[in-house]
Amino acid sequence: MKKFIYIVLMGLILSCTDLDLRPEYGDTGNIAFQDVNNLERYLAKIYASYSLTGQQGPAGDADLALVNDEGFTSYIRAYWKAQELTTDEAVIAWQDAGIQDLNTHTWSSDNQFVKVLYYRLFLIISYSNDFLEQSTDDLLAEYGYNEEEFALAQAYRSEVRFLRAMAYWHALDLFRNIPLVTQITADFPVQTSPQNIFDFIESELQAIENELPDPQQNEYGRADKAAVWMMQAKLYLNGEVYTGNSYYTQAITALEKILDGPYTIEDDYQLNFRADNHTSNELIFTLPADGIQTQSYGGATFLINGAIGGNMVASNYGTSGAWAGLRTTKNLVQKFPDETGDIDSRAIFFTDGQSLEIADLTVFTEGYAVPKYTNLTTEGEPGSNIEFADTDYPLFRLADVYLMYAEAVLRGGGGSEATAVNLINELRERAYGDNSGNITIADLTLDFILDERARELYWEGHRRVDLIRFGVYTGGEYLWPWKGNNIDGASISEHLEIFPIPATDLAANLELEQNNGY
Amino acid sequence: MNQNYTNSMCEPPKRKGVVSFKWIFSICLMILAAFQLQAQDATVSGKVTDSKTGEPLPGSSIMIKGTSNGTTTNLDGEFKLQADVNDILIFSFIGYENQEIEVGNRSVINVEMQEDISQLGEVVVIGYGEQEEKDVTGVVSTVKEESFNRGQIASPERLIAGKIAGVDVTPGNTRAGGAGITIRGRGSLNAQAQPLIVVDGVPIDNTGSSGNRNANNFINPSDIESVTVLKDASATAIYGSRGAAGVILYTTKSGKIGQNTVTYDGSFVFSEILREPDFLSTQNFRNAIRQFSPQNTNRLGESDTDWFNEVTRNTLSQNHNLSFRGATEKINYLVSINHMDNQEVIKGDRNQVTRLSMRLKTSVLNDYLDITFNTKNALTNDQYKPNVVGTAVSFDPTRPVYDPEAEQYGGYYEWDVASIDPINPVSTINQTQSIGENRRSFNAINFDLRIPGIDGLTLSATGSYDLRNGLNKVFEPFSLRNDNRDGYLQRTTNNAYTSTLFTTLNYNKSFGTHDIDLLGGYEFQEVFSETTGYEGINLTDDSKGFNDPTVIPRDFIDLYRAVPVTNQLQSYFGRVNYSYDDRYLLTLTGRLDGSTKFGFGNKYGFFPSAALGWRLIEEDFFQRLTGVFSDLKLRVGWGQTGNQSGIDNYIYDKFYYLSDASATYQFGDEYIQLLRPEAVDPNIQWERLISTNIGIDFSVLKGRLSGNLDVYDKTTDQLLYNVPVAAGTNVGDRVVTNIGIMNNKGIELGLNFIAIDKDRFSWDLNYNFTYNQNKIVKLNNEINEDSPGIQVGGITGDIGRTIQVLKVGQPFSTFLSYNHLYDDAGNPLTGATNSIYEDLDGDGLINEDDLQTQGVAIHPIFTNLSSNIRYGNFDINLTLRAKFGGQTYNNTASANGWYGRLSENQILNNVHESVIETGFENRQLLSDYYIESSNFLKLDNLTLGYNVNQIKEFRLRLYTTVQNMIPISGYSGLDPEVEIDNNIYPPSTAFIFGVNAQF
Repeated sequence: MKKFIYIVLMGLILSCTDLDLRPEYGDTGNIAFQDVNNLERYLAKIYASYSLTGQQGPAGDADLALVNDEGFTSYIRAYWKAQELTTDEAVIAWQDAGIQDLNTHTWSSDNQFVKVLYYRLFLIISYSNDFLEQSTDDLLAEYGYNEEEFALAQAYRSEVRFLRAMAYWHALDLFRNIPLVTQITADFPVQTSPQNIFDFIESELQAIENELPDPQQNEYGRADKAAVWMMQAKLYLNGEVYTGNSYYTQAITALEKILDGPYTIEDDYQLNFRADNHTSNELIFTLPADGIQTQSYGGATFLINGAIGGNMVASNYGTSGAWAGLRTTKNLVQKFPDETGDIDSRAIFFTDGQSLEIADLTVFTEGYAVPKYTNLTTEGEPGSNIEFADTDYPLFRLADVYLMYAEAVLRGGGGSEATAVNLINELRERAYGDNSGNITIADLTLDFILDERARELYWEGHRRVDLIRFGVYTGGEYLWPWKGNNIDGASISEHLEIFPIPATDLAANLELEQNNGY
Repeated sequence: MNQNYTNSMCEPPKRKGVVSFKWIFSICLMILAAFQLQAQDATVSGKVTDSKTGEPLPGSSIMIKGTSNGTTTNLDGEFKLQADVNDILIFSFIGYENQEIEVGNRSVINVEMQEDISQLGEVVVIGYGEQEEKDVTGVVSTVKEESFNRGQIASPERLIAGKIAGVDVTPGNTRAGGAGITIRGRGSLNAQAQPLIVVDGVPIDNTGSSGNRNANNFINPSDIESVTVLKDASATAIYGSRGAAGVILYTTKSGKIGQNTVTYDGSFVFSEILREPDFLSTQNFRNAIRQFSPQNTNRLGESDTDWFNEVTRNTLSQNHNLSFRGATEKINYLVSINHMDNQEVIKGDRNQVTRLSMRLKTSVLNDYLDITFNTKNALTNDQYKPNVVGTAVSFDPTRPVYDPEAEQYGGYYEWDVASIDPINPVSTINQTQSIGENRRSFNAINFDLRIPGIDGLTLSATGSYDLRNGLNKVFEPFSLRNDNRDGYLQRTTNNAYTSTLFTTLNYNKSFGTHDIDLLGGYEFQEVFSETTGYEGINLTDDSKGFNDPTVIPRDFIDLYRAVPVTNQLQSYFGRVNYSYDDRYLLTLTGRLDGSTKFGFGNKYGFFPSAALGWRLIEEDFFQRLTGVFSDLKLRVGWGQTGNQSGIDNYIYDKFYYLSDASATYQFGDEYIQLLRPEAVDPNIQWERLISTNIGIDFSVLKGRLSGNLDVYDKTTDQLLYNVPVAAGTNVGDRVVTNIGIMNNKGIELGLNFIAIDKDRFSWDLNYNFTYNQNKIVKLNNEINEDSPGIQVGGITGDIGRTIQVLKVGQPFSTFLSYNHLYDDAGNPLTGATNSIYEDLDGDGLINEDDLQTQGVAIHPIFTNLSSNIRYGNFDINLTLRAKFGGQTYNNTASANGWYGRLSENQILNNVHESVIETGFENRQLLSDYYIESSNFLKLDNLTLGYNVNQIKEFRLRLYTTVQNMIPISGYSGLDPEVEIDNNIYPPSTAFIFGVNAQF
């Protein structure tokens, strides 16, 4: 009897606990980052946040929860849609909520594709801010890093700042009026002027420029000095759009640094867009994919599978999926001398069973298909997995540098017109196979540059920015099918040059103000 | 049993077993000093019997008036007691009127007890104890065995569907599945906020284990004696952080002294689908193709297949239950064995459960200590086929089921156009194996020690161990067409346990007109769960079933990490029940709960409650009304409870987790796994429910009509939800955090009417009515009704679409849709999106800004009627359930009822018949046309029974039940009770024939 009561009392005392349980896998930062490899894995996560969607491939354990279909939440997929579907270069057939609104410029602040852009960018910014907070000198000393580990951590920090600057640049470009958040805080972020954001990006890039390895001296997939210069060039070239001030001289300076680098124009244009494009010496910075180890429904998998439908046979492009979505408008086709590609080989269109005109945006066979990207190697073999492409997304490419240089020269940034013509002719000689398409200084006009950019760089995620910089994205001066929700194209309001702040964030953050016009 | 401890407790112990009480005695002695010792001159003995039947009443209480001395009767109703000639003895027994008898010179007093008709003196189970119903101040409803639902009952919650006001038990359409339970409206946005289940006093884990479609089916419904529901916070606050969604207490049967019985109950169940989904017949389908998709006429096949019929069936299920129960003076037992073989109406869908249970209670140490051992075990084999209803109803009816030439597909006809084409549903159910094997063993041991020397003081300790083991196996052979994978297998094991220990100290005593009942306790619970297994695609060999992972190529195997998670709950609680003069009642409770799910500073929460009761019936000024009222009580209660269900573990601290091997990133030649932080709110807390209740219990017509009326107001503060964070403030786009307030207001009426109460003819009616108004008051830090809210309620027909919204000012489950425009004839407009919906903001475009809230899926009104009639040897029982004021979104119609669907994706698809009325060319998923009023009346069960034999030693009853008749409803789909009707499990009606024998 006594024993029984003692047991009960003992049980009472023994079972009192401080209720502090920890997971048996996963750690808090102060424990995880004692291993420098975990810092590298966190860096990899931030890189991957531009193309992948979660902690499982191709989908699963998503990073973003507010869009139901995880496949939509790949940043590069959403970015591509924002840059291309809103222009003359691409249309999409699907009818997912809000996607047709990109074709027709009728998006609202609830549009889920706009949400992906916005939340992805701020997620990358938050990851980066957290990374920098977890790797301060004090903490690195606490983790007990040796000299070598300390140096590694510093290199990682510079790359994280590069990735954060890129997120800010995109946010500036897409949403313009955004908060500047550089540390994780529970306080509501407050919007600041575009000039402040611009200056922040500029100063960050200057600060890390000398910290990153020389061109091609970092591991493949990671940023180097050339990536910084390219971002500087893009920031400066579009600086007038963002701030009203011109930065063309600075653009030329950055571009010349790249031109002095080890990059060369490949003889084979399509090497930049196929399964083994990591071997291209023309690519400056890519988002790597791998059919087995880096799977997602974003990136090149989306661009390859999404562009196949109608009479196209998926296996001809090294894939198994025909998602029947993406085509182009006649405006792009007609920029080429010939739709077959016989003259300008950059014209890669599939026309069998496809019409040039688009009466119904939701019908895949209306509008030419564009199999520019494939999951085939140079030998014609499919990539490692016919469901998910090996093809890396070419974010920065040397041909773009050439065209930007020529444009910056024309816009008064200095440099040499003769060099600009030579650079452009290098691209056109590759396209024509000979010098029959070459231009002279007299041909070098801004209008020519805009069209040449379309011919060289179509479907690479530049078009919206280009049309805005050339002042023809909005308004009625330049029309294309379904611009402004009109089959022949119609004028659209200037406020559409930037996207609305998602309504969900306006609800969550009471400090935010919606962009004008929305 | 003939103890006389009050008088002998300080004498030297006579029996060996009492020797070890020494240490208690020293305490007793001190306490006894406070009591007057009296002279005990005479020994009085006698027998207590029922005045009607003459049967002895064991366990009757005999007290000497004005003292705490007394005894109880033994098995034969006999007692012996030392008493003074001047003493007055008070004889009492629950359900009988008290009698006071002066001892005088008598040495033998035999008493015949009169049944007390007016006394509702039933004992009801409450949290960590029991209470006389008349003293209850909280909102507590009990359903006893005789009022349970009849029919095929797979798990115990189905016993009370429709029986209690405010308690909405939705049985669903599979008979084996778990039923959803909502008590007094939805108090949480969290889908897992289900009531706490307590089995014989032990709170259990309601989550079950993987592969089992019903967590509660380890409890044999035939073992249940009564189900008690605690509805308001003054009753549930004793369960603190687990009480917010209400508490359901199951009490299992125990033996009755002198009655050793064997009971067999067996039944056969024929199930049949009485109504099928409305899709075009083969002939109409051919016509529709010719008319609306003429370019596809050449694609029509030659066959005539009713795909829905091909995947469904009529079934025969069976249920056998054998139980032994009885009691002797020292041991009270129930042993039961149950086997249920439930065949569902989708072919191959089957649920078999074998349940073994035992409840054994014994009294030792001179009856000071009661030990109860309770074990409930279940083996479940659950074979569930993928839900092929959606595929079947829309599969081209001109295609055959079998195609002898398609050897690669196992001889089944398959489309072979694109990878997204539907898979032949017959092939899917015949070739896919999906089996869940579950073992659950719940064991509890309980000690109740009445502390000798301190009358009314009881120390209780209960320990339980609830073991759950689930194994899930899925296999697809090569011959099942799937363009994305060639063979598939999955095998996962889930091991889990819940261990619980709680001890309580209870002191229950009357001091003249003051009755007090004090309770203090401590509880500790630990829940552990671990899942391991593998899953793989593109097998090298499909002959080995799901058992051999070596047939999965290395690159295509997904190994589930062993993910062990543990959480703990530690609590201190107490309760005061005080009653003055049987008139004024007071209950105070408090519970301090600590949980590992929260961070420092937030781990502990305190949940108090207070309630007052006033038994007007006892008041003198009320006595003149006693001709009308036989009972009348007013109750007022207030309390706070919490809710922590559905909160993941460790989400109060930022942990970093590594990705799977399939999500790595290329750095040079290496692929680096990704380390990601989880977005958390370090300040996360319990949802806190504050509820107020005012109620009245009454009984009129000499107890023939009794009932209760309650009004309540429940506010859930600190609602937990996974909400969008302000961008840039956290390492995720959403975080589980406390964001809002939700309110439920309601009124409940429950009535019991004994219409006829004759020896050969009786008729009882039970009616209840509930109105509950739910409203989201604050969401995402906003109380602005114009803020857009959070879209929820995913639908099929397209990727990423939703039809409901959580929005300030609106109830939970509000629909969000476009307003469809109609022509003069009342037909919905067809054509381009921009011309058929109302352009609310007038901008010429139809987009998200034109969506409007439109009705609510959860019916605010529900009302139920049960009737039990006994006439001679016959009995008839029925339960009717009705709900009003709600809508159902007909997703089956919206996803399939448009002509473009006929030839979508270059194959032919059958369409929903609604297209004949609408003529829609394109799908109109967000049209309010599909949001239909779904008021309904359902006959849940109707039973006719016949008692063949009424001999005492052998009772035989035959019965037949019709369960789940077709609902009466204006809703066009199959089941008006679902929120979003998307190819739901086909409702079926059961015809049951059974026999019940007892000897």
